[in-house]
Amino acid sequence: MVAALVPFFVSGYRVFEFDVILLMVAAGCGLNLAVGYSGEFLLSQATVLGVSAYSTGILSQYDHWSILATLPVALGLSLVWQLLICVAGLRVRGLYLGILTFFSVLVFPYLVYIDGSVTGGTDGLVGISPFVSSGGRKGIVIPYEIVLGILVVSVYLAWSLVASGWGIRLRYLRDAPNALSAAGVRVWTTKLWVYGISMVPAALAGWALAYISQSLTYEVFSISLTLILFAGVQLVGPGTLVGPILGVGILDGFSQAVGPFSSYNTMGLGLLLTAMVLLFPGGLLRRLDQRNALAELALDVPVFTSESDAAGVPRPANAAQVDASSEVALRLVDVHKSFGGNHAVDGVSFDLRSGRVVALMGENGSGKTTLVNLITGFLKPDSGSVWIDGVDTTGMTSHVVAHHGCSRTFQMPQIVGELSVRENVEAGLLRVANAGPFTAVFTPWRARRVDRERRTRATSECLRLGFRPSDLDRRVDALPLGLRRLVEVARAVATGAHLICLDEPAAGLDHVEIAELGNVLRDLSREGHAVLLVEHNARFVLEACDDFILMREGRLEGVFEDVDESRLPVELQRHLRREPERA
Amino acid sequence: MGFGEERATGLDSRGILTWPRGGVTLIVNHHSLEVFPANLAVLGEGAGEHVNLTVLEVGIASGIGRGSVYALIALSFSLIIASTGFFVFAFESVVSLGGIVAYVLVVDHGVPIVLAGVIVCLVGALLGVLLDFIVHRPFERRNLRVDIAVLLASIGVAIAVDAIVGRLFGGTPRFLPPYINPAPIFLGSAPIQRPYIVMLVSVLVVIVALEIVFRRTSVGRDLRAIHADREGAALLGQNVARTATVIFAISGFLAAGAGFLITPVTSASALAGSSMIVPVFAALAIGGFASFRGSIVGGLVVGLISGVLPIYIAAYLVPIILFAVIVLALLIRPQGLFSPRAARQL
Repeated sequence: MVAALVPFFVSGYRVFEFDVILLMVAAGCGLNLAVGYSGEFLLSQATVLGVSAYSTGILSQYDHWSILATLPVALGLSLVWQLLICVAGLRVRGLYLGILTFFSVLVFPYLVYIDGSVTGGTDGLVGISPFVSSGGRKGIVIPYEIVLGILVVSVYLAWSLVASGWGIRLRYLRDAPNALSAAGVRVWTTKLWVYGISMVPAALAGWALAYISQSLTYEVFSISLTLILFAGVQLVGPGTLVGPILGVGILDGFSQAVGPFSSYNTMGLGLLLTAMVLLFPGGLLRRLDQRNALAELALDVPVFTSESDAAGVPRPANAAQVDASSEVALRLVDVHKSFGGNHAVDGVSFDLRSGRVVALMGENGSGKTTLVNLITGFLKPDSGSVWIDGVDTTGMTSHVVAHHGCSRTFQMPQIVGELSVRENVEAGLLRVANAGPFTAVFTPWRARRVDRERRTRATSECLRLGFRPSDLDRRVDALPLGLRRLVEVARAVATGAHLICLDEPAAGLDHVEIAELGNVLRDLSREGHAVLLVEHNARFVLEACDDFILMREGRLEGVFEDVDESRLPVELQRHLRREPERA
Repeated sequence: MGFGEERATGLDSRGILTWPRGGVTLIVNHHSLEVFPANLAVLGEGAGEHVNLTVLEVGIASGIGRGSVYALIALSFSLIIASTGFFVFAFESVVSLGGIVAYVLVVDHGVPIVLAGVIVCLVGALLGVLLDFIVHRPFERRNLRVDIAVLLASIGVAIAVDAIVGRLFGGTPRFLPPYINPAPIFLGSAPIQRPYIVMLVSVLVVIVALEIVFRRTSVGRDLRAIHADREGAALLGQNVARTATVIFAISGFLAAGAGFLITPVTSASALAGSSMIVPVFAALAIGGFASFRGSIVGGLVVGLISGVLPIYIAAYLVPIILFAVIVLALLIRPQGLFSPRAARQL
C-alpha cells in the first residue's frame, strides 16, 4: 500500500529506479519457481528479460505496435528463447544446466549484434516511446502503476501455483524426482512447465522495462542482472514467497544505488554472491527453519500408533478381499539385464499373485534392486518381458508403469523434508488429483476443490496405515530416518497401485515399527494388493511374507510358496544362515 | 567454396591483407592480435612480405591455434571435473591473472620471460590452493549439494576478481613480448605460428602425464576412488580434503600456465579468461567433461569451428553457434560427444 504511493513523494529518476527494482523483484518471483521450488538452476533469466525487452522495443519503435500488441509477442518470443536454452535441461543434471544457462548470458551480446541496424548493436536501441507520452507527473504515475500491476501478477502467479498441488509437485521435482516418476507423474513435463511458467514474470518485466527506460543496451541484461536475480532468490529464502521479494529488492537496490554499469556493481555483487553461498547455502530463512526442525526433532515421539491406539482406527481389512489365487499381478518372463559385462539380472522368470506378500531375498549384489528397477520401469530389460496385471509393460518408462498400477519405494528415502507427512503422501495422488497449471492460476477456486479432495484422501490413507492424526502435519525432516520410509510406503499405497514394490523398507526401523509395518503389509495383501518386498531382515520377512524368492548372482535360486517358519526349505535356511540377522 | 581458392596478393603498408573477392580482411599487426569477434588475423611479423595463402588455409591455421588455446584451458577444468566432479568457474580468472602476472613481471620488472613463465605457474598453483579454501572447503561436510555451491561461489569469486583486476589493471589489453619467435612454420601451405606449436606440445605432454598418473599410479587410483565415492574413500582413510587441495593446485598451475602461453594470441587483460569460457565449455561438452584426451579433441574442433566459420559467416555468429553446439551436445550425449565412457552419468 505504501509502495503504491511512492510516485507522489518522489519524482523523476528515483521513480524510474524504483520501477526497475519492482520489475526485477517480479522477475525474481518467477525465477524462484524454477530455482527455489523446483531446484532447476536457471541462470538465464536476465536474457529472457533481454529478449522480451528487445522484441518489444523493436516492434514499438520500428513498426509502431501498440503496447497491447507487443505484449503477446514479447511473451511468445521469451518462451521460445527460454525453451531453446533449457531444452538440454531435460537431459542434464542441475550443475550442467546451471553452467549452460549461464552461458546464454555470455552469448546474449552476440545475439544483439546479429542485426545491429535493428537492435542498435553496441550503441543500444534508443527512442522507444514511453507508455504515456505526455510529460509531467501523469506520465510517471501510469507506468508506475503498470509496473506495480506486473509485480502483483507475478507474486500471484507464484502463490496460486505453489498453493495448489503444484507446490508439492515442484518440490518433488527438486528433492525426489524418481519418486515423482514412480507416482506416475512425468518428470520432463513437470520441468517443461517449470521452464515455461517461471519465465512469464521476466517476460512481463522485460516488456515494461522497454517502455519505462525508453532505451536498451545489452549491458543491462548482463552478468550483473543475472547475479541480482539468481543471488536475490538464493539470498533470503529460495522456495518461499517472500524470499525473492526481499532478496532481489535488496540486491537491485544496491545495484541502483552504486549505478548498474559501475564496476563496483559487479564487484560488490560477485563478493555478495560468494559470501552468501558461504554463509547461508540454503538461504537465510531456511537456516532459521532448520533450527526449528531440529528443535522439533528433540521431542522424537513415535509416529506410529501403538497397538491399542490402532484398534481405535477402523481398518477396512477384509472389506475388499479378492480371490487371490487366480489373479497374476506381476509376471516376469526370462528377464535379462547386464551392465557392461556384468549380468546383474540373468534370465529371471516368476509370477506374483494378487493378495500375496512376497520377499525377494539374496545377498548384496545378487540383483534384487536391479530387478525392482526393471519391474518399475527405471531400467529397461535387455531381453525378456514384464507383465503387470496382464499388460505388457516391458520397456515402458517409470511413470507409464505407474499408470498400469505399480508403485514403489526407494532404498534411500525419496521424500521432501520440508513438506508434512500428509503432503508427502499427497504426492502419490498428484496424478489423479491435481489441477492443471492454468486452472491453478486462472480459476483457483476449482484448484482448491481438487486440493481438498486430495488432502482428504491422503488423510484417510495415512490414518488407515496407522499414522496418528496429530502427526500428519509434522514436517518429514523432523521425523527419525526409519519413519520416513513409512511415509514412502504410504505414498506408494496412495497411488492406488495394485502392485507395490518395497525396497528395504525395514532398514532403520526398531522392532515395534517393524511389527507395525508387517501388519500394514498384511492388510494390504488382504485388500488384494500384491507386495514385492526386498529385505534382509530375516525375522521381519518370516513374519510378514507368504512366499519367498531367492536370488543369487542375478539368477533365481528358488521360489518357495506358503513358507512356514517351522519347516523352512533347505536353500532358504542356508541363505538365512549366511545372512547375519539385522533386527 | 569458390572464393576459398582465391590467392592472397600481399600486405599493404598498414599490414592489412585483402582478397580481391569475398570481403575477407586480415589484420596483421605487430603482435598478431586476435580479438574474439574479429578473429581472422593469424600471421606474425615474421611471416614475410609475400604471403600466398587461401582463405581456408588461414582459417585452418587460426583454428588450430585457437584450438590449442582452448584445449589448454579445457584441460585445467577437466582435471578438476575428473577428480572432484566440480566445475570451478573461477579458474577463468586464474587464466587472466596468469597473463597479467606475466606482464607485470616481464614489462614492469624486467624478469626474463621464461623465468616469468615458471613464476606464473607457481603463482597459479597458489591461487588454486586459495580457491580450494574459498569455494570448496567450506562446503565439505555440509549437508547440501556441494557441486552447485562450488559453482555458485566460484562464479561469484570470478566476477568479483575480474572486476577488481579490471579496476587495478585497467580494461585495455596489453601486449607481452613473445616468448618464442612467432614466425610461422608451414604445414603444407598453412602457416602455424610457433606459440601454437608450443601450446599443442604442452597440451600433449600434460595429457600424457595426467593419463599416466591417473591410470598407472596409486595416486591416480586414489583420485578415481575419491571421485567415484567420496565418503567411501574417506572411510578407508584417504585424506580427501588434502587430495582436493593438491588437485586445485595442479589445476591452478595449468590454468595460469595456459594464461601465460596464450598471451601472444590474446594479450594480457582482466577479460582474457572470461572471453574464453564459452569456447572452452563447448570444447568440454564435445570432448567429454572428465576426459583429458577429449579436451584436446574438443579444443581443436571448437578452434576449427571458430577459425574457419568466420570466413563464411559473420564473426559474431560464432559464439551463438558454439552455444548451440553446447546445447545439442548436452542434449544428445550429456557425457560428451567423444567421451569413451558411455556409462558415466552426469
